[in-house]
Amino acid sequence: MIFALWLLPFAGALAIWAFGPQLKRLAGALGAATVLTSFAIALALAGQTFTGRGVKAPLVSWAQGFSFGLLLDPLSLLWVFVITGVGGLIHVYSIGYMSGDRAFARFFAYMNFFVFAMLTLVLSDNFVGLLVGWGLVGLASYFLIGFWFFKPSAVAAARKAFVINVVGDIGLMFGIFVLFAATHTTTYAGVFAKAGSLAPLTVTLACFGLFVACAAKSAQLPLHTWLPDAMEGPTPVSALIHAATMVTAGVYLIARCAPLWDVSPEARALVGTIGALTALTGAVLGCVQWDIKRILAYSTMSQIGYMIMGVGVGAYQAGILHFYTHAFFKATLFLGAGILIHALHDEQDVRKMGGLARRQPFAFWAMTVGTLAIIGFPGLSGFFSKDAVIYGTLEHGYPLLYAIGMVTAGITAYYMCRMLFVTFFGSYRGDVPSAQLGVAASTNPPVAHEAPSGHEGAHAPAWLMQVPVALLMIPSVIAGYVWFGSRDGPLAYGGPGSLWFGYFTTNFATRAEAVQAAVPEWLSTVLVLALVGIGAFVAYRRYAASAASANAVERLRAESLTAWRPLTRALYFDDAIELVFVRPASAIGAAFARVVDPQVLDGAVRDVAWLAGWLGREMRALQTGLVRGYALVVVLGVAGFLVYFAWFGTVR
Amino acid sequence: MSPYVPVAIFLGVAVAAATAFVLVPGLVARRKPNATKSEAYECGVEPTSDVGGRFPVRFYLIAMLFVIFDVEAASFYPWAVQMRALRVYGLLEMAAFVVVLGIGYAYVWRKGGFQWR
Amino acid sequence: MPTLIAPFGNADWLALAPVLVVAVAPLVVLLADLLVPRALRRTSALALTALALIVAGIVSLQGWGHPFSAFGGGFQAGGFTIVFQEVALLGALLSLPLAGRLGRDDQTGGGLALLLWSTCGALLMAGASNLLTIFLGLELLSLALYCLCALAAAPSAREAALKYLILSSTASGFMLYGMALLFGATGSAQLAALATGSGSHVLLALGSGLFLVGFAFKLSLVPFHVWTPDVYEGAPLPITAFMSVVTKAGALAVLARFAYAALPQADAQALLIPIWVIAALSMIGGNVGALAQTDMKRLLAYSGIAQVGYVVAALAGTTPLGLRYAMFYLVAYAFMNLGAFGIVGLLSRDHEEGSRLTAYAGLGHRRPFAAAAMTFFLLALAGLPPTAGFTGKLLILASSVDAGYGWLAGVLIAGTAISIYVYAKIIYAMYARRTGTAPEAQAARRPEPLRWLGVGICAVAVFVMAFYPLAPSDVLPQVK
Repeated sequence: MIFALWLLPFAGALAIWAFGPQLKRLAGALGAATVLTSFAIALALAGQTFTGRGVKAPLVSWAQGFSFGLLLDPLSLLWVFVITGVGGLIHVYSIGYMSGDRAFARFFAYMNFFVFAMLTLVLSDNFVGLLVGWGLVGLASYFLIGFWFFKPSAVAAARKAFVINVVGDIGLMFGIFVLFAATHTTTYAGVFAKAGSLAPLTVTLACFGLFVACAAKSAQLPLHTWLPDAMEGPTPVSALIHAATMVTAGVYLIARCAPLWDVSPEARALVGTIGALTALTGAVLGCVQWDIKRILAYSTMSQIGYMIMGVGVGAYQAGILHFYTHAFFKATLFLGAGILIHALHDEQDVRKMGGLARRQPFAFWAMTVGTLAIIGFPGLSGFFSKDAVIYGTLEHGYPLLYAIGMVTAGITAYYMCRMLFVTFFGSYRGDVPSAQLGVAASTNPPVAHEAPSGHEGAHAPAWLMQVPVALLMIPSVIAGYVWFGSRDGPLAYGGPGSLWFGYFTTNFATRAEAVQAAVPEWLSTVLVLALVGIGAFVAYRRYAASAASANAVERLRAESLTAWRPLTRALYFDDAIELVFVRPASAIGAAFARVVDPQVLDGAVRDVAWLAGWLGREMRALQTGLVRGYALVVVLGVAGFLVYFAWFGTVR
Repeated sequence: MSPYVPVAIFLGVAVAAATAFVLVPGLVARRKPNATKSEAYECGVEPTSDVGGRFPVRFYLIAMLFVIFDVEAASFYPWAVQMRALRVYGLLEMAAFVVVLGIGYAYVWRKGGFQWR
Repeated sequence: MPTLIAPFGNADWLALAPVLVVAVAPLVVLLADLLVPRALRRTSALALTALALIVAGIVSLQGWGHPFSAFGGGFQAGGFTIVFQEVALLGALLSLPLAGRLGRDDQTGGGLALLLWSTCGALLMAGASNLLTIFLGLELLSLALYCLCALAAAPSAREAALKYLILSSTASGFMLYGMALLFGATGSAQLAALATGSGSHVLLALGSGLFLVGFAFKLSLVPFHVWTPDVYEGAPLPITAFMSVVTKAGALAVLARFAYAALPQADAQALLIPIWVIAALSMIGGNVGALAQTDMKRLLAYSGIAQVGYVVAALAGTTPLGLRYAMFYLVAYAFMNLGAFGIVGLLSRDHEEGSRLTAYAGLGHRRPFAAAAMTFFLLALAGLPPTAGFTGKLLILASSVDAGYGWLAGVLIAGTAISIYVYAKIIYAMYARRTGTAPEAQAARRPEPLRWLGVGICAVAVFVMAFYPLAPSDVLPQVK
């Protein structure tokens, strides 16, 4: 069963890849069907997973501590639910969104491949399988960001994501090597069993390596710069990979390696701090974006910062819960934004939207629910999880991070409401010339008709895109209630004893060593809510109040032109990377390019790295085809041998 | 190394003898050539071309086949000498050998290996 | 002389059974060639050969767990032998589908008979545990191969055969001399007798050295590899494929047995150092040499040099684990190499072997399945997951580090890095270029179920082995 769960999406990917042209429209249905079947299997396996120590399926066992297998324990089950459940819905949505795209089948082959890769990542019971999955999701992400490869910006974004992820992969390998060197095994069980007995420095080193991987994959400072650019991919991709699943792999990794983090306070402090800073940075940068998908991307980065902070400081349940709720509401937000983008013919700039509440009521409600969930409106899913993370930092003794988390919550409310108000309130500004709104000319050539050209020709039925969003709205509202119901009574919430969510976090049930916090939880919640209220109110005053709506065009233009430059340049992270890494590297590359013949193989071989090529040619010169030449080489070899053996024989 | 001293001596003697047989006659022999002495020796005809010329490959083929079967036939002799000691086993062994040889012979024959075209 | 009368017991027959099958089968093939009607000759010869190889494979497997010996201890059956025998038989069997072009039609029977005898030599080598048997096997293998190399219409084939003959005889000469010295050192031709370490030390060292030279030549390790590219390029495709697997299986069996069982414990590690050095040289030299090649067969020749380097590196330190991994990698190599040759065969036409690299440009667009399979095999040769090549290299890395030969592991990684470049270029060419000018594109293609079957077997094996890298563990005791 677990094999079927794991391999079905892959089989789907293969089938779609091989028979894409024949399948035509069915490719999407096939992709969605395989993923949803996996989801059904995961549901069927849930009972088994919760009762025992997880479903194990050994694949291969080698000598020397290499053993590969699948492990479906509560932690991976949660991820599997999200990957296949949310993933399946996004597949269905994509059938509508991508209808009319030339590479319809290719898209689903990639998406299915991604689901398979992600399942590999979370189902592996060892670090090597994790690494394989880690690399494969990066590859899938690369394919999908660059899906519209005729857009130069998409290709650049894909390459950037790939390069940064390779940095992460190296970190992961480093971590694994350290662990393997210390424990002589690569299985989780084996490594964690010895975690307590390892030297603290070893664990910290390993954790550091693993965290570099997390930072790259989960867009944490300073490796976050690829995520906003990754929005060049189709919107369903952004929803699935760059919001709900892949970017949370870092959270998974830390949660999975909790036994390591438990013994390394340095690692906890590092991860918590980076998470908090990322949350803050993402939120601040989200305030100055105008592209609806980039706003969501920065919000994703910020929310993952929360998750990382949560699992980093030791509040594992809280961090995981936030992953869980975030998957729903962020997918809702992205898919809602996708509906808008689809309807507005690939317009992504919120300045050119406005007043869409009446034109796109469904998208409006979806986005509203998503926004309320993400800002932590009481009763919605984000409220529980975010509050749990923020309070968790305090419980685990990080008051500074607690403060950052609170402030970030306020900023989150501000920029999310800003997006909502600018997009849906006021009057429609699509006809207003770009210059009047302060919209800079696009660097991309107009590609609207090549891109998801669903507008011309047959429209897919609207329900294909609306039903998945509607289905995602439900958990966006109620998913947080799994946090309720602890041993202390049905209404007491939070903590390791929570009945429903506790199923998923049995691994961590015994791990709560929370200190008594200075602030009681109810007070903390009130404080957070107050900040959220302030943020939302400011946004309302600036973008939705009647005064703001009246001269919206003027105000948006002023804001676009006077925005603080460091913020619009994303705090110069890209520039710093450019300066520190890219320039020297490209200088070296250019130096090489002058030496290396840049031609690539055309049947004959020209593209040869300089040294190796030189050697190869020299060797070919030796390879004259003359027997006496060969004989000479052989005889010289023999002479070498004889010298050694004669020396050895006589010396001993 | 002592067991190899006789070998070395034997080698030296052999080389020395061979060298001597080639060199000494050239040094000591008296030379008085005349027309008759310089002719091709005793029998045969005057050579019509250089000995370094090219032969048809058939020649080598036939020669090689002859040598192969000749040498293989030669292995009958040791068996013949030891036939009584080897008894049935030796007989069977030799029968197998002959069968193999025979199949090879038949093959070469049928493939036209003996034909001088 | 009672020993002379019954030198063969039942155990001897059982131990030799697979060898005998393959020794007798060629006679049947030759007779069939004479008796069968002309139209059926080729088919019948191929069928008989395949049958013989399969029967020998089955017979060989029957010996599992029965370490019989024959020739008074000169040939030992058992797990170790069986693994190498199966590899050799497999190599021969899988080169058969490529054999459509093995000489003229009337040469097919003879050619296949030679191929079987050559295989027979390899089978002997797999179990040979005394110097005479080793030499017998080796010469049987080689002599048949000299002829086989010449079995193509092109002049290059004859050139290849001659080169192979001359250089190989040179190496055989060295090896024979080495054997003589080894015999002189111990007074016995049995490998086991060498391990006692009695006798002259100088002779033992020099003899080992010359003996190893001979096998380094057969394994085409740098710098004894010079003949390989020319011979591989010139020989007919099936023979190239055959040589790349069967010869190496036989020679490796002897090398492994010699390294593990014949050298005195005290000296073994030091005596073998040159072998590890040339293994390292091969890993680098083979891959570097492959960089500049424009012919697929030449490229695979260089690639084979490097691959054998990896296998030999696995033996470094002569640990039990290393032997297992070397066997695993050898089997994996056999499959991936034969698979790659199978694709070359698929691209071949009647008068032209599909070995020019230009024939691969744009292949992904013209023949997507062939290109996909080729990509898979090249990935395997490069040692990338998910292939047996990756697993095998990983294991070799582990074992050489474990045995204290970290520098070999380093060289292995460097060689792999270069090789990835070699293979990536081909893969790139197959997919990047849409314009293929190869005439093969226009020619109507016959369906080739047998070749696809061979390629399919290899592909499945390379994939499955990636996940089940278990060499039988009971082979080691039977080395000695």
